[in-house]
Amino acid sequence: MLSWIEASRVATTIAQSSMLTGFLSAVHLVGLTLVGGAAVVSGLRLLGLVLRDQPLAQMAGPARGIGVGLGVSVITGLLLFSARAPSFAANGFFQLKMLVLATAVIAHVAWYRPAILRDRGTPLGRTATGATGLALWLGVILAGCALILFE
Amino acid sequence: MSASLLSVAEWLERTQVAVLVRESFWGFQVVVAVHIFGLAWSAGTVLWFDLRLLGLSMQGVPVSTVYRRIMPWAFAGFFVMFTSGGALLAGFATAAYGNLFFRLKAAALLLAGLNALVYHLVTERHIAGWDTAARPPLVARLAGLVSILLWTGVVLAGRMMSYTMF
Repeated sequence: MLSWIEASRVATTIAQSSMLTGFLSAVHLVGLTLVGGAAVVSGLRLLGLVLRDQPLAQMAGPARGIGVGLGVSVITGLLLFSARAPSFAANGFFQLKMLVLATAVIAHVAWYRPAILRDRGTPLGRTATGATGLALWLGVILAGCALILFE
Repeated sequence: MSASLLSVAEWLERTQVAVLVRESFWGFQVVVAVHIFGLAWSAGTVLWFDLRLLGLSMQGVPVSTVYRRIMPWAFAGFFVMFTSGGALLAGFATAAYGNLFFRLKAAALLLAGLNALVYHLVTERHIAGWDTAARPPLVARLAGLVSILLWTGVVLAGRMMSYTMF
């Protein structure tokens, strides 16, 4: 399956062009920057560390921004993965990144977004949601940075 | 001018930091990882102030409040990004000097700094009139838009350097 992906037309086109790989990696990084900044702003607000006196509803933008950035990163990430599918899949940091990513997405959809968009939860719950969400998204980014060690 | 810039680049590459980045086994990759983390943190955070200037997010919060509360967190990330970026640049200064994407990135960074300077020195002087406006005036919105475009350029060109310099 993985070698089949790697042998596909899209994957070989990407693998053969370092400019195309670089461009996809650059757009992947723009998406990741969106996720990171949106998680920092909304996470710190849930933690009560910034704009504590402002209604949580003001964080609707950053809460949605995480999803937008994630979309950009996932599309470019899948394309980058396809070019070297077997070696990525076997990489421990890649596996860790996917594990943290899956956890972050679940936590985001189940708790983080509702906490902000529907202003649900107790103050303690908000703090816990903010801390977990921020840690998970920054964890995904850190694992991605660690992947660079094996480029 | 360019001859003197090149000699600065050659001098940078002889500094201790530069040698460490180039010659230690993990040094380079670790500094790149730290640089990217600092970037996602700082440029990503600045984006939300820019979006507030554009009137696209946090419309109910005064512009000055968003700046005061959010920017200190961005500055922390900038510190990480600029120190790690400085070390990387020192290590490969002459290669960067001749690289098209480095030149684009340096130009975008300079213009982003200039844009911020103009905002603080000129546009912000009249902030009392639109601080609480959901949609700030055109000059302020332009400052936000230009900042987003330039920072996107910095990120794109910066990543392209990794694929074109070595």
